[in-house]
Parts: sequence; C-alpha cells; structure tokens
Amino acid sequence: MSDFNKEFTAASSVPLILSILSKGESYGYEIIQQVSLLSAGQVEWSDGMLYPVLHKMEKKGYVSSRWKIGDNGRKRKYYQILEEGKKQLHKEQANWRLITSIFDQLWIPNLPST
Amino acid sequence: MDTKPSFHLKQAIDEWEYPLRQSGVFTADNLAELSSHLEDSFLHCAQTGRPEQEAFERALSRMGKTERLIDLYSDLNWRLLRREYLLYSLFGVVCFLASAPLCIFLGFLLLLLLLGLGLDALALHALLWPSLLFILFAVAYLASSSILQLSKLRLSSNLHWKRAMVVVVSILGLLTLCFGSSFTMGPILALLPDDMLTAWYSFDFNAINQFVRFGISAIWAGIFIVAAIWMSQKGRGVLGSQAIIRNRQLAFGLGGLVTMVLVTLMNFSMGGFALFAIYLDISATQARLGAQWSSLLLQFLFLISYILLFLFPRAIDTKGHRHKLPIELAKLFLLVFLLFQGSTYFLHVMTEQLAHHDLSHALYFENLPWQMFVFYLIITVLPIARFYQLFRKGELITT
Repeated sequence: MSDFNKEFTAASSVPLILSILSKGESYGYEIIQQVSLLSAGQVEWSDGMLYPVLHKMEKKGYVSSRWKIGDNGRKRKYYQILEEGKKQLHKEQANWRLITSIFDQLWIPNLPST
Repeated sequence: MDTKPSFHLKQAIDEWEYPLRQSGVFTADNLAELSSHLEDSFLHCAQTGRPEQEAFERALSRMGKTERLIDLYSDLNWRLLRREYLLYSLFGVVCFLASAPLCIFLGFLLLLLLLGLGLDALALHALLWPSLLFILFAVAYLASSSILQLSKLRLSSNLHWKRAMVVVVSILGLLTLCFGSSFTMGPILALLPDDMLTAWYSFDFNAINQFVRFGISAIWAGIFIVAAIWMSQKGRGVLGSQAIIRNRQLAFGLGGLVTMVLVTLMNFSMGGFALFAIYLDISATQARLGAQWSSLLLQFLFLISYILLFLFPRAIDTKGHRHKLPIELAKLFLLVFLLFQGSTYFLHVMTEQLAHHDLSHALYFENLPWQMFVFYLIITVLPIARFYQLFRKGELITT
C-alpha cells in the first residue's frame, strides 16, 4: 500500500467491498486482487484484515456467504451482497460523492462552486 | 543431483495454522477460509516463477502477522471467548472457596502429626500456624493455576472434549476436597488438646483469621492486578498464546475477587442480622426465618455478581482510558479488601454479642450449611449445564 493510512483504509473498506460484490459474488482473495487491480497496486490491504470486515458485514446483514467449489476444484467461501448491503452501498455512495465534490471545489482551480 | 529440500504446502499451512488454532479465538470455519486464502495467494505467487518456499513466505507476509490476526479475530469472536472467561471465572470461585477449609484442615492435620511426635503443642501452634497456612495457600494457588494451564481449555469449536472434561473433573475434585475437609474438620479438632483449641478460639481467632484472609486476598489480588496491568500495557485483550494464559488468569482472579465481594456481603448481612436480632430482642424462630431470608437475598446477589462477572472482561477491554486501568483496578481492590476485612471484624463482634442472647445457634448452625449448600449447588450445576448445552450443540468436539 502506498501512503494510505489505517483510518482511511478502515473507512473505505466497507464501501469498496460492497461495490465489488454489487457486480457479482466473489471470495476473499479475488476481492483483494480486484482492489489492487482497480487502484493499479496503490491500495493493497493486508490479506488477514479483510475477513473480519467481511464477517462483521455478514453479521450486519449486508452480505451472505456460502462454501462453493471453485473452477480449480477447490473449496472457497463466496460472499454475495444482500438487500441491506445494497441500501448501505447507496448511503456510502452519497457520502463519498459529497466528500469528493467538496474536495473538488477546494482543490481544483477555477471550478465553479455548486 | 538436485539437493533442494522439497516443499510441502499442506504441512506448511498446518504449521502456520497451529498458533492460530492454539489461541482459541478462531472457529473451524475461520481457519478453513484463511487457509484457502493462503493457498490461493501461494499459487498466485508460485505462478510468477518464484520458488515454492519463497512464494509461501510472500503469501505469509501478505496475510499479516499471526498476533495481528489473533487480535482481529478475538474482537470478532468475542462470544466464544466469553465462554472461556466464564468457565475460568467459575474455576476461580471454586478455588477461592475450596482453599480456605482445605488449608486449615491440612494445617490441623500437620499439627496433629507433630503432636504425635511428642512436640510442645502450644509452642508449635503459635510458631507454625500462620506460616503453615500461608505456605498452604500459596501451594493451593500454584496447584490450581497449574491445572488451569495444563487443561488448555478451548471453548471455541476447536475445543477437544477431553480437555474440557479435565476442567470439569478438576472443579468437582476441588469441591470434593472442600466438602471432605469441612466434614472431617470436626473429628480432627476433637483429637487436638483442649488448651490448644481454647487458644485458637479465644485468642488466635482474630489475628490468625485476619492473617489468613489477608493471604487469600493478596494472592488473588496479585493475579488480578498483574493480569490487568499487562492487558492495559498491550492495549488489547488477547495477543498470542501468552496473552491467552494471562486472560485466563485474569478471569481466574476475577472469580476470586467476586467471591471475596460475596463473602463481604455475607459477613455484613449476617452481622447486620445479628445486630437486628439483638436490638429487637427477637425469638429463635424469628431469627431462623430472618436468617433464611437473608440467605435467599445472598444467593440472588451471587447470581447478579455472576452475571456482572460474565460481562466484566468486555468492559475492561474497551478502547480508550486504558492507561488509567491499573490505578482503577488497584482502587477497586483496595475498596473490596477494606470492606472484606471490615465485614469480618464486624461479623466477629456481632457474633460475640449474639452469643450472649443465645441466638448464635440459629445464625450459624441452621443458616450457614443451607446457604453454602445452595451456593455450591449453583456453582457446580451451572458450568455442568453449560457444558451439556455446548455438547448438545456439538461445539465441544473438534471439527
């Protein structure tokens, strides 16, 4: 991971996971790979921290999980987003868009304020 | 010839898993998921052309430190850990209760042995009794603590039922020793010379009783405070196998501390009852009734403290203000200890007063055995019932 601090990683982990799972069910290793790929290797989570986050999300009813045999014949635990998770994702999107628009106004020169 | 050592993935994953399994904070499902992830990560690294050993090390470093994983999962699986705290706390309660009659019994037995050798009874009594009891209490603590370590109890799904049974058998064994020593105390006392018994009851009661109680309190408070300070310095409840041991000792010490609180309440309650009986000049029947109601109240208080104990470790594991924890705990212990000593003295004075009114019989011989019977019944039946419940749910068997 580049200069990401712990607080930022913690704050962004739930919306990132929900966003990835909204595209389709996935398993832990694949989620981590996608985050790394989408950020061009700039965001790299410690693998072990992902699962407690996923389990907490499962307890909150955002996602559900099931063991499934993968393409390579090995068992993996797949996670899929639930209705509650989709609602949470909408809330997260609204919050992050608001924050982004604030930074845009502050950091991009000559951008008209909305 | 290629002399490169062969790499066994399954064995390497097992070795990595071992401390995690030992920590007791992971379920079988958690471990299976982490192992599957590690394997994925290893295969990915190996595909890039790295040697297998190097690929595995790379996968391990991506997974993060073992201590950090234990830390994260201990937060996640708090419910599982709470069961462990509960059982160790109960173990602490039983050890605390069992140690006093057992040590006194053994002390008397040793004195009898020395008397049989023709030594001066009173001189021996005065010289040996306090130090003898102190040593016995230390041995009682060390023995119970060793059982605690040897049992390696896990109440998560990784628990092997045999280990759990060791603890149940230990608890029952201690209870048997406690009851046995109480029942055989009478015949042992009958064998001791009258002058020694007179000295014990009239003069030594206050000094030695206070000293012995101080010994018990100091030992349990020691475990409690040391474990609490350690926890506060590390900032987390569970950090590796050493921390698990500390946590068990903390729960063990808490069990003793709660019992001390209960005995304090019992002393105040019985002393208060004696005061009430003396000043209202009540009859023996009323005294009996009052004593029985006070017993009921005490059992209720015990259950409340039992529930509080169940919740307490979580409370001290909360974030923030952790640096103040040792001071707060030391203050708490001091308060409990002073109340404990004060209540003992109060009860002693009140009992002497009660004897003048011929009511001490009602207080001690009709109230106390019944009360202790219920007390022991609760602390024996509850853990057994809990074990049975876990056994039925299949959570005591290794998966």
